[in-house]
Formats: sequence, C-alpha cells, structure tokens
Amino acid sequence: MSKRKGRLPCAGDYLPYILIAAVSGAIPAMTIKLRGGLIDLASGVEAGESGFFGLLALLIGMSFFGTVCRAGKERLSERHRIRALAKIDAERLEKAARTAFPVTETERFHALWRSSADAPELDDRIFRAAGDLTEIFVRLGLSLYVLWTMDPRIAGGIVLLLTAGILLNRELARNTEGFWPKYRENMRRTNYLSSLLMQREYAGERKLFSFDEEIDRRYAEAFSKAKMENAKLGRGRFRIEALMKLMFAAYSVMVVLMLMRPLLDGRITLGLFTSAFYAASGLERSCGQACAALYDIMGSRRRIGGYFEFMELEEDEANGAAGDEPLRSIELRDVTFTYPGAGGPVLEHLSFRLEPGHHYALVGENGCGKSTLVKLIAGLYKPDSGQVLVNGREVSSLSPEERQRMICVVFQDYYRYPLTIRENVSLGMDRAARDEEIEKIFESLDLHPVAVEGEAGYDAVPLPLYKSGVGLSGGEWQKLAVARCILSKAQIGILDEPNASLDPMAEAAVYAACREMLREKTTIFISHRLGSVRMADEILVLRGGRLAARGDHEELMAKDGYYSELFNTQKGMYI
Amino acid sequence: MRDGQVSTGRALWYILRAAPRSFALMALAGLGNGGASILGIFATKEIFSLVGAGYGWELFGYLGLYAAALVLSAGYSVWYIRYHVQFFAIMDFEESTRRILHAKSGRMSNEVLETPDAYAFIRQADGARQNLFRFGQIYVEAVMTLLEAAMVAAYVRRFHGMFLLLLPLSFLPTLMEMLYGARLWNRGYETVTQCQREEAELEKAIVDEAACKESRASGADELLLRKWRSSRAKRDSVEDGKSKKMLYLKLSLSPAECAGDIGGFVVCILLLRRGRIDLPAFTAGVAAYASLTAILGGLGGTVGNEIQFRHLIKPFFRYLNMPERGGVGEKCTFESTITLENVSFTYPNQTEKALDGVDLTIKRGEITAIVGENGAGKSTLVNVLLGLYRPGEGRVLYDGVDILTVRETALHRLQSAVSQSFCRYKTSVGDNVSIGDFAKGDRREINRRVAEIFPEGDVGTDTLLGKEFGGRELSGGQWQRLSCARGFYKDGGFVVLDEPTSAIDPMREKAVYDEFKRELWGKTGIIVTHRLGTVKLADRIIVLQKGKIAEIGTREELLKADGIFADMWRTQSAAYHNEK
Repeated sequence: MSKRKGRLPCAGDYLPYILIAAVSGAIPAMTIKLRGGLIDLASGVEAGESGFFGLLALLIGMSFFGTVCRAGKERLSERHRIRALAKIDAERLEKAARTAFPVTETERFHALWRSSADAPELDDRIFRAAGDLTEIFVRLGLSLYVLWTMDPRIAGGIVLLLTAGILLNRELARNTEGFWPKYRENMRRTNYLSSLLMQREYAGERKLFSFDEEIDRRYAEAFSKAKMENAKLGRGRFRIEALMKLMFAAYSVMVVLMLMRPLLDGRITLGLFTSAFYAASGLERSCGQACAALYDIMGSRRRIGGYFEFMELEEDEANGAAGDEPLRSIELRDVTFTYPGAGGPVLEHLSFRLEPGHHYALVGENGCGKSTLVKLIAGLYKPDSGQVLVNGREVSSLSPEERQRMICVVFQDYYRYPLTIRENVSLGMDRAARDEEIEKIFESLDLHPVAVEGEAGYDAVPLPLYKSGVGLSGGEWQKLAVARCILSKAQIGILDEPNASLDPMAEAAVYAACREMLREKTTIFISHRLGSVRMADEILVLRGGRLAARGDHEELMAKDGYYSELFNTQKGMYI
Repeated sequence: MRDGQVSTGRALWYILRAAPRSFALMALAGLGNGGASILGIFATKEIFSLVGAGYGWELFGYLGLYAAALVLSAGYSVWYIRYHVQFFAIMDFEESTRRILHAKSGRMSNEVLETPDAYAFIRQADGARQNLFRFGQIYVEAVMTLLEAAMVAAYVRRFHGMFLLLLPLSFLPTLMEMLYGARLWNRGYETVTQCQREEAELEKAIVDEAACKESRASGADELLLRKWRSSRAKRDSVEDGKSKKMLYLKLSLSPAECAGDIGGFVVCILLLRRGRIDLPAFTAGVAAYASLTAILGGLGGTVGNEIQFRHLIKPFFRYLNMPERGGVGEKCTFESTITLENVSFTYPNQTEKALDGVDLTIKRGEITAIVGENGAGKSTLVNVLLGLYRPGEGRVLYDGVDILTVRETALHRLQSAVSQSFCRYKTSVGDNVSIGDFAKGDRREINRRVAEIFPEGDVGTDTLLGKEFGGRELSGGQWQRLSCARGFYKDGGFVVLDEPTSAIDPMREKAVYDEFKRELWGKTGIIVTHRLGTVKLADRIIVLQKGKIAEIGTREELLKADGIFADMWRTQSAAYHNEK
C-alpha cells in the first residue's frame, strides 16, 4: 500500500475546529473539583452557606457553555464535510476526465476510481477524529492531573488502561483491517445471485427456464457461507472488545479501593471522593474513544492513498496549437498497434491515405481491427510504431479540443448521455443548436421521439432520470448520435456501425440521409453489413489487421477474392 | 399500482412475525440491561454507605456486585448489539426477507416490471431488507427502553419521591435529538436525492467504460462537468442550509439540553443540601441519572431515525403489494394449437397499444417467421405467446385452455427460447448452458455444446465468466451463442428465436442459421428476424405493423401480394443486388 503524502483540501478548517474541541474537552475536567466542593457543602462536611449557590451557578454556567461549544463543533465539522466532500469529488471527476484514454481502459483506473470514492468519507473521518482526539486528550490530561493530586496510582491506572486500550485497539485494527470490504466481498456473490431472481433483465429467462428454485438454493448456500465468514470476522472483534470491557470493570473496582485510602486518611473529602469516582468511571468511554479515534486517523490516512494514487494517473498531453485549417489529408504510415497484454498486434504495418471530400467505407469481420483503427484516427490511442497524421500532423499530439474540432465519431456503443436532446446534438458545435436545425435533421433521419412532445421540447432529458422523463429506444439514441455528427463542425465524420440498433429498413434510410447531409465532410463508414456501404466512393477491406484490398464495390467484386466471398455469403441472409 | 401504502402497524406486525425469536431475544436482552442498571445503582449506594467504615468483606462483596453489573451491561452492548445483532439476527433476517422477495418475483407476471423505473424500484425494495430489521428494532427497543427507564425510576423512587424528576430531565437530551432529527430529516430530501441521482448519472457518463471514449472524442466531458458542478452546488447549499438550521435549533434549545445534562446532579445536590437524602442515596441518585441518560440516550438515536426508516422500508411493501399472476392448474399441453384470440397489450404507464387485436393460430410442427420494423410489436407478440406477458384484452389458449388458469411453471415447461436481450450469467460456462434446464443434468450434452462454441478449447465447461468475480469476459457474439446453446439445451416443443443473432458477426450469421435449421427439426418454432433471407426457414411469415398483423402467408404468396413484405424485400435485395 502506498503511503504517498498528499494534501487534503480545506486544511484551514482544522484550527477553529480543534480549538473549540479543546475547550469542550476542558470543561468536564474542570468540574471535578467543583462537584466535589458542592457535595461537601451540601452534605455538611464543610461548613459555609454563601458559597453553595455561587458554585452551583458556576457549574450550570460551565455546562451551558459546554452545550454551546458542542453545537458549534458539530456545525464546524458539518461545514467541513460539505465543503471538502464537494472539493474532493470535483477533483476526482476532473481528473478522470483528463486521464489519458488508454489508461481509462485499464482495470487499475476503475479500481482506483472506486477506491478513491471513499476519500471524501475518509477525509471527513480524519477531520472528526482530529477534533475528537483533541477533546478527549484535553479531558483526559486535565482529569488525570486532578486525580493525580489525590492518588497518583489512580492516574497511573488510567494511563495503564489507556496503553492497554491502544495496544488492544491496534490488535483490533489489525484484525479488522479491511473488515467491511471483506464483509462486502463475501456478500457480493449472494447479491448477484439474488439479482438473478429479482432484476428485470433476467425476468424472461427466469420464468422460461424456471431456474428460480435452483438459484434460490445456491443463494441460500452462498449466503450461509458468507454469514459464517462474516461471523468469524465478528468474533475477532467481539473478543477484543469484551476483553477491554472486562479490564475496565476491574479498574472501576480498583478505583474505589484506591480512592478509599486518601479518604480514610482525610486527605480528600467525601465529596471529592464521590466526584472523583464519577470522573474516573466517565473516563472509560474517553479511553475507548481516544483509541478508536487514533486508529481511525491512521487507518483513514492509509486508505486515502488510493485517492492520491488516482490523482497521479497519466493525463492526456495537450501541446498543439489550435487551428481551423481545411482538411488536406488523413494518412496512416506503417501503423502497428497492440493492446496491452494481448498476444499479438491488432493492426500491423497498416498504411493508407484518405483524401478530403470522399466517402470511405471500412469493412471486415469482427476482430479485424476496425474499431481500433477508429480510435487511432480519433487520437484516443497512440500507435506502437508508425504515425497517424491529419494534415501532416500527428493526431495524438493535438489537444483534445483540436481533435474534437477536426473529427467527430459516432461509436457503435453510443452512450446515453444524461443531457437534454438539444445538448446531445450540439456537443460538436460552438453554440446550442436551434429548433429548426434539429427539426430538419430529425426529419431526414425519420426520428420522431415521443420525448420531445412534452412541454420542454428539445430541452427534455430523454432518460427516466426524472419522473416525467420519457426514454428513447436504442435506434433513436443511435440516430441522435448521427444527428450530432451531422451538426458538428468537424470536417471528418467517422460512423462506426451506426446501424447496429436499426432494422434494415431504417438502416437504408439513415445511410441515404447521412450521404446527403454529410456531403461537405470527409466520411468513413464502418460496417460489417456489406450491402449498406457498397455506395461508398472507396471501400477499404481489413483482414487480420492488414489492408486486404481497396477500391469501389465493382472493382472489389470483379477481383473475386475475400470481399466478394463475404458479400455473397451475406447476400444469402437478406435475399 | 405502486401505491399500496402500508400502515406502520401492519408493517411492524409483518416484521415482528418474520423473526419472532430475534425480537424476543431483543426484548429479553433489554430487560437484562435494565436489570444491570438497577444492580449497579444498588451496589453504588451500598458501597457509599460502607466506604466510611473502611475495608471489609461486605464492601468487597458489593464491589463484586458492582463489577458484575458493569460486565452485564457490557455484555448487552458488546455481545448483543455489536456481535449478535450484526452477525446473526440481521443476517438471518436479511436472508429470509430476500427469499420472500425472490418468491414474490416468481409470482408476478413480467409485464408489471416493464416500466422505466423498474430497476430503481426493485433496488429500493431489495435495499430495504436490513432497514426492515432496524425498523422493528426501533419499536422493540423503544418499548424496552421505556420499560428499563421505568424500572430504574421505580427503584430510585424508594429513596425520595423527588427522584421521579430525574426521569423527565434525563429524557430531555433524547427529546431534543428526536426533535432535530424529525424536523430536519425531510427537509430538502427530494432535492437532495434528485441531485444525487443526476450527479451519479453525470459521473457515470464521464467515468464509465462505455462512455469514456465517446465523451473524450465529443468533448462532452466539459459540459458534463459543468452540469455536475451546478447540481452539486445546489445540493450542497441545501445541505449547508440544513446544517445551519441545525445549529440555530441547537443553540435555541441549548438551555433545555443543558438542563438535561446537569439537571439530575442539581436535583440530587439540592435534595442532599436540604437534608432530604443522605450521601449514599445521593450517589444512587447520580448513578441512576447516569443510567437513565445512557438508556434513554440510545432511544434518541433510534427513534430519531424512525421517520427515515419508515421511508426506506416502503418500497419493500410496495413490492409485496404488486399484483400477482395467479393460475392454479397443473396441466398444460401443446398437442395441436396455440391460439391468440383478439389479443391486445399495452405496456404499463403507456397509452399506445403495443399489440392491437391480434388473432393468430399456431399449429404444432409449424415454423413461423415474424418480421416488421423496430417497434412494430414483434417481441411483445412473442412474450404474449410465451405467456410471459398477460394480454390486456383477449386470451391466449394452449390446446384450447386459457393459460392464465394454469400455473406459470406448468406452461413454461413446454417452451424454450433465445432472446435478443439474452442474459450473461456470471457463473461457469457450463452453468450458462445448464441453467436452461437444471433438472436435465446432461453433462455430456453440455460439454458438446460448449465445445461447439469454443473450438479452440481455451474455454471449457468449468471456466468462470464475469470480470467482477475474477472470471473471463466473452465477446457479445460468444455470449449470444451461449444463450442459443442454453435455449436448445432445454427440450421445449415450442421454441421462440427472437433475433437470436443480433450480436453475432454478420459474416458468421449464415452458419448459425444453418444450425438453427437442424435444431428446430420436429419442433414448433417462431423466428423473429430482420434478415429476410432467413425466412426461407419458415413455413409461414407474419408481417407486423403497429401492433397488428398486416400480412400473413408463405414467402411466395407475400411477394406476389406486393405489400409490405415485398417492399421490405426489395429494399434489402437492392443493397445486395450485383449492380449499382
């Protein structure tokens, strides 16, 4: 586990909080003698009339002050929680957006993202624990001093108890390190099995295959196993906590015996004896809290490491200068690309050049490297060797903004953004699209979502996120992504299987509309439905990471090779 | 449909009945804790009446009693609350409530879950299970706490009547806490949860694996971040306002809070000064006050949470109140026909009919293809035919018997299906096949089917799937082929294939369809497809349009009729015709 030091936000909140905590801690200790004096006066051990009500008022006043301090302390910690939480969450999210794309595809990125999600809570715990620790130590320290004056052994006993408590707590911390993660881990399997029996996505098969009985049995089995393991974790905790309680019971008895000596010697009054007895028993909770707070701080500091690690992930470099120059060429020069951990390269020594204003199609079987090629052209990946050039400049050296101005991609697994329809289609523009513009494009794509029929129109969010939200179907989302590309000011449009969610009839319509609307752009259509892209100016056939052939449909069919074989097999499916 | 409000009383009764022994033990433990307090007070009093006399056996005896009281009350908090409840009582409860939910979902018909918020709704119902226990605990503990407090009060009353004052005083801090909690918990709840949901969606759109590349390529990140910040600011200002309000409330109530803090001591000391009680009784009073505040202090936390838990358990009861499918008959057959009689179907919360007056007869041994645009109602029709959705109007008859009169399991025994929305089970590869029919248990067939999908042999029956559980990931096509294997592993006489190749590489689709031809031999089949070339498999084609059967007939008949099917066929064949 990394112990990298990092700064937590809102560090300025600590000072006032710790001060107020110290004051709250001082009050109970200061009342020990006060209470003792009051008891003596009341029980007539000490004579004197006038002092009693004065002391009583002082006691009440101090207690009142303590109440006010507590309220203030609570407010300060709440304020810190709200502010620091927002700051940490925002930093994490901004960092995630800046992280280099290939890094986001690694398991490490997601693991760190998940583990850093605890950072705000940990920060809050550190903050609160710091206050609690201050309060408790002030209280313990002052109380110890008072008790010391009566019998040093009582104070010694508390020190002993505290030390033992810290040691036991360390043991407890070691025992319960990752207690809740382990607990959750044990339950994860049972949760999954349970979701098979409840969630809608499994409802059809659940009924049809009547697997509920067997899965419910497995659930019960997994659950009782998880329960046993969790109970084992719990037993460790129970033993240590029980031992601490027993030690305290013994100590409480010892306190009475120890306090009796100065009482019998007449060194302390009965009132002070009583007050000290209560104070000593009250310190048990403080001891427990002090130990817990100490370990909370240490444990939280350690666990927050994931956050600092996340914040240090590699970022996109942005060093290019912005420019809106017209497109002259897209060129791949001897590009080889291998996925980390993969056996061999997906793309090997791939070279080709695309001219502006043409419509290209990229075809091939699954796994031939089509989508990888898209990500390379979009600058999301860097090639292992070779270059991907737009207008002679390396794509990966452009800033994200420049790339967005240059290239617009419609991915096959389009994302359902929690944005309004207008925002969704305006992502590639400098401004928000106007109603007429959207209307025109929706019309040509034959897109008439129910979601825009409400009062909000194009400003409705087409997700069931809001009570009134009406969703879009898969095909409608895909068309929305196509509309975004059409509206975008980018000169290169890449459509990676924009038809996966469309039926063949709609697909034909979308292709026709795209050809029409994207006339001014250079386009690359990617598909494995060959009938759809045969109208392209030029078709690039990819096979096993290499360019197998290029040419228009007729040329490729005439060659009677790989392409014509694929085409004829597919034809059987449609005709 | 989702309202089905449940009164607190009925909810409580339901919960207590679900785990009577746990709650009985809870009551017993509470009584024990009260007993421990009284024992402690008694011992304190005796100790203080003896300390003046010096060390003696009697004193040691009472000290022992005092220690025993401490151990007893420690047992309550350390053993009962932190060990037994957390690791046994709650766990047992969780298991049994979940199984209640499982059984309930088995009794509901699938169409009731076809709403956009179903996922969240089920999650909330499921998430309520621990809260149900906590809710029951609140009430049991509240009753026991009051009883414990009454026990203690009754005991100390013997020393002086004024000691009864301790009870209301010690209750003050708790009362305060309950006041704050109840008044502020609801405040801005809607706004906060709405913002939280929105932020979660926005976060997902930035970080999710599925979103990363698109968000980067489109520049959506910036907009998403901006929206996230504004939602967060809105939520935080509500939270901050709440926290400020809390401060003011606490400050204005601080005299009462202070009275609760120190009131007991003040009462006791005044009684002592007036000479109404002696010192041992004074110590007993102070000890009693400490016990009372400790006992009642716990109550503040729990009862203050009552309103919150009442909110959280509602979805559970709403789920249990969902309508059930019914049907009692055990006998269901498919010897001759499946008939739809004037069937209409509307999805919940929608106005447009997904199926509108469909009449259809399917004969045993026949293969039928269903075609039509997206949204024409193809999958809905299939779900109604399978009896997974109950029609809003009309009847579905298997051999003349209305399927709603028979048990769902009896009906599904006759069927099998492969759906376009196939499931990916994160278990072993073998389980992914055998889950089609666990009772069959034909290991050899499972192995054979797995080997057909993974000829390289790198994936076998025992290979674990699902990254989350440390298993392998498969491509969409491989998952779908696994779902085909599952569908055909089950020996259903009536097989539905609903776009069974949607995720399979079109280059390989042909081979998969050839396989279907073999598998469907001797069975009754329905194929939903967009690839018109594949309808050659079928004896008959149904063209659906806007929930109605627009055309029905053989391929030749429909091409001759020159209607919708012929139109679709022309569009598709144009794409694959050899000249431009």
